[in-house]
Amino acid sequence: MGEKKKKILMAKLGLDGHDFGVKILCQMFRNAGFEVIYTGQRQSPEQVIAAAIDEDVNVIGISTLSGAHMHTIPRTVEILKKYNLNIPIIAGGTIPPEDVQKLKEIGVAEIFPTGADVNGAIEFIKKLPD
Amino acid sequence: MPKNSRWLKELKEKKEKWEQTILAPALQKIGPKREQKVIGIGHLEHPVKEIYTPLDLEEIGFDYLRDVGFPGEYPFVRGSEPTKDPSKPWLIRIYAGFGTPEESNKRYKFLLEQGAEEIVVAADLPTQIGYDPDHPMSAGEVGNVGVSLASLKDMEILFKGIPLNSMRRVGILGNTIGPIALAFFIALGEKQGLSPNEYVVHIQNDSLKEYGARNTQFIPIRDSVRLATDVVQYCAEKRLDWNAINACAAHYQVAGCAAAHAFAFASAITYIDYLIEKGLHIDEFAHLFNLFTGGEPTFTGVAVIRAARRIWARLMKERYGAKDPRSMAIKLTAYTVAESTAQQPLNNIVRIAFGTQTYALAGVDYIYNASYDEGLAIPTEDAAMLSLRTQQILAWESEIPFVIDPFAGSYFVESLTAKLEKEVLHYLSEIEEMGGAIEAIERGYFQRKQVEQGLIKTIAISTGEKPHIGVNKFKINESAPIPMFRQDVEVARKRIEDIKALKRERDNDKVKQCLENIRKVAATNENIVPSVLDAVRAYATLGEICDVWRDVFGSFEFSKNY
Amino acid sequence: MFDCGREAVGLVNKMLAGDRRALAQLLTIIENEKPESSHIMHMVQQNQTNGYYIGVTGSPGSGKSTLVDKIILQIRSLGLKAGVIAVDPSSPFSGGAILGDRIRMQNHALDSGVFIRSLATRGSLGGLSRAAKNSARILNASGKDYCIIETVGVGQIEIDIVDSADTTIVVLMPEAGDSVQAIKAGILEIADIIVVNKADIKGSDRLIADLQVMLQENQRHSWWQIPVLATQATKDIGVKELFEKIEEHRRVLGETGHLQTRRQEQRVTEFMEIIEQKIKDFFKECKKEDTYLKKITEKVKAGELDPYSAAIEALGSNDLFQNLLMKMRGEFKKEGVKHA
Repeated sequence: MGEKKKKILMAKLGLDGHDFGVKILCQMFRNAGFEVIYTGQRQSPEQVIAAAIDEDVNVIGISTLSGAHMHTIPRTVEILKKYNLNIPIIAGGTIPPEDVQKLKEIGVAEIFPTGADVNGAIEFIKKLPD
Repeated sequence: MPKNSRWLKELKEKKEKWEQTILAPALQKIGPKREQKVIGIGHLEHPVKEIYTPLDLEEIGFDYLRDVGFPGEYPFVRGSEPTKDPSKPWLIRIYAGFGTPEESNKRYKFLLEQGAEEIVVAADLPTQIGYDPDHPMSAGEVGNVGVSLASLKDMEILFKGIPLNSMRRVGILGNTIGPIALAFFIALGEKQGLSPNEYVVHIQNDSLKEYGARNTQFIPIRDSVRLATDVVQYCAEKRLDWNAINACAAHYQVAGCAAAHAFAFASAITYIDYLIEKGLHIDEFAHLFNLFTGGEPTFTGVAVIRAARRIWARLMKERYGAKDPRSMAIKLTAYTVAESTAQQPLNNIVRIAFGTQTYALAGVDYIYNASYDEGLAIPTEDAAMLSLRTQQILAWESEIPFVIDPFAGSYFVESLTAKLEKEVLHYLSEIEEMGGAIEAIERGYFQRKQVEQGLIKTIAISTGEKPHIGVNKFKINESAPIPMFRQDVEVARKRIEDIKALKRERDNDKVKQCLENIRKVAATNENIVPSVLDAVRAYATLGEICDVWRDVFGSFEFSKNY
Repeated sequence: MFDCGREAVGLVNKMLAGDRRALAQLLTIIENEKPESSHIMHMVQQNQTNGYYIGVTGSPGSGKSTLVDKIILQIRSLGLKAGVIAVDPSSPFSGGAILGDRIRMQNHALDSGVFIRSLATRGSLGGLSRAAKNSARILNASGKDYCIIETVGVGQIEIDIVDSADTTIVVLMPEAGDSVQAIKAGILEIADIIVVNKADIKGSDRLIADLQVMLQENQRHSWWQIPVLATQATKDIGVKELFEKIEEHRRVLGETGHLQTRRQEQRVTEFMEIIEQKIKDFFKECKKEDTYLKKITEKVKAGELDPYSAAIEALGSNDLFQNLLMKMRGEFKKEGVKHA
């Protein structure tokens, strides 16, 4: 019988370029036993979702540090809804408290702003359905 | 320091006696075998001894005249100037910009009233990456992390009522877009009726660190280095004593300060070699460089800066045969962010103050510090004012400006300076072995070091091994919400209108001609600045110019990035 | 066949009709080795097209993924479809993995003629996992004209790649030790084409020359001279020539009848491998519950029996063997596929 692993797609949407944070997260997720795909920088929501479908991931993790999250993340959620895709999204980065609530309301599963404990994200992912 | 070997022998014996009879019992009392004290983390840990004495200076072969010398004289460890006017200890800068040029103009005036001596223009990501606000890639990003700038007209609005020569200096990040940033200021100066010799401009213009860390690049690396060095060459040939380029360590600081400074030096070497290839002599342009040092706490920060001054001086003299002291006496710029947190943001006021103090003690020439809320959003006016006050209090209430290089001769700091110098040179030789900064970046060496070291740090914070107040220690459940700056949502819409209006008003034929000319020049080895300057004067947009570059040089493929 | 088999059949039919999501979900079932995998693979085998399999292996950091990205461009320029299985190693400590190949090919994300799937080795000791090999077959069945399998190549070169590929490419790069490594690692046995990538780096000419000498002295076939090609994948230099070589190899394989022979051998290897793997898997399960085995294990532990005598006794015993056999037959009959 094969083992079931949690597969995560990590993405940076928009123009923001700092990516060592995302890369560090990828390593930590790998150390936690997940299979991680990082799609790189300057991705559009369409590119990220296409990859998420083909790789049949359990969750999409979006890293955003340029303040564009109220534009890029809602668009991503919109596309997922349009195509009836049931892939949960988590987001992290420079997301102020008021926006955390707004994003959750439009359907983001959980937010882990800068400084949030990585273990929280790891536990959250572990609990996702296979 | 007495080199009398009998004296040293006696000192050694006395020290051992102290360790056995006084220290050991005290350590016993503290508890079972205490771990070695270290500062720093990961591979860049520095064990800290119980005490430092003249023996440590002996150990590093310390020679005051050779290793430290006098300020304003080779090797310039104690500073690039022989003395400093205590009333002008360093240049107080502030990094600012958001939304539309109109909004930023208001903020600039406020900051200047509050005592800012240099405004460093923060541009939004589309501007930094060479996209006009109406480009599809700009959606959602216009005016977010900085002001949206696309043309000379925007610059005129940005600095309306602020003559460029009313500030001690004016600056802009302008990395991959270096030549355009330069042209913006020259053309603006003309509009203000000023000749370039009447004001001083600072352009970060370190395109290599974009590829190595920050990622605002959009053309291939070697073409980007060519453009960056075109800016330096232009300033050198026009005798503009501006700060035309920076070798940046700060952006690599996740890799540890020794590695970060090595990357900066490797980048500088690459730029210098390109300029020498263009036929310039080292003394024509080396003084146009600044070293953008990185944020390390207290002693490490001071020590690495002293080491960096020594390394630069030796590099200029021994590798490049520089004769002009200006070439060898590197000026330093610094930005204090000091591990600011999103949690309990008011704590950052303290962190930033301590960080700024480190730079003051190290004799940094140009300091800008973040606002306490910078990690969350654009700073509010009050937060920005507070960061200016932090510098002003240090500059005019503290004793620091009255002493040059107070740590010189310190048993500990000189030991640490020597140690860090060794480490920086070690990394530098590894990079040279690979063929230089460009090759190292293409192989992902700079990037890997940041991730490796960053991972160690992140894990240490996650386990609590490295205390981070508010994050893993003394957490509180609810922060009193701090006032946050809110962007006007209409920014993007307005900026798109601005571009439309601009294109209606200007002479489009002239612009077309200028862009054609840039295209021709780009394909040769000629300096790109004059053609860019013509285009900027004719109100070509930043996006239009960058599109020509993308066309001629090819777009940078991110999937090929490390 | 039982219920989940019916669902699986439905999914396969959807995939064959061009449903991308169904394809992705099938790959997940195969990767997780769910029971319906046999149904699926049976149907997939029935629906193999004459798509071509290209294997790409080589030392880590040699630029395999970037090369594959450019090969995809060549395939697309002919209006043909490409599928990629990109394999990366699972951490032996945590079981997790960073699947870092896709990032190099992400510009094809929105191209409906390209399908890229990343896989971790998940404990299969070296070599390609059955899941990876099966995944390649599924991509073929979904209509991809070329299916590229990119393997790990950690330290040594993946020898197993020859079990799945028609043309195997070994990618090296000029750095100290690579040519010595090549000899050690069995490159001669598996390479149909050798590529020296990052050919702008110092030492590439030397490496190419060394390889050519080595190949001359060790001719594996009379009908195919293994070429050494220089590429700079990031700049798309030499890739067109590489693709032309692949096509040439394909032609020669066809003309000499070797394509057929290889594929025959591959099928047999696959067959044996599956049996071997299933027996192993089953024994693993048995180990946990079989009372006879547990009793004997206690004796070995206590030192009453040495491992060798114990093994022979166990294997020779009616208890163990019969139980095992019966259980196995029962399970496999359930899982079994009705042959039309």
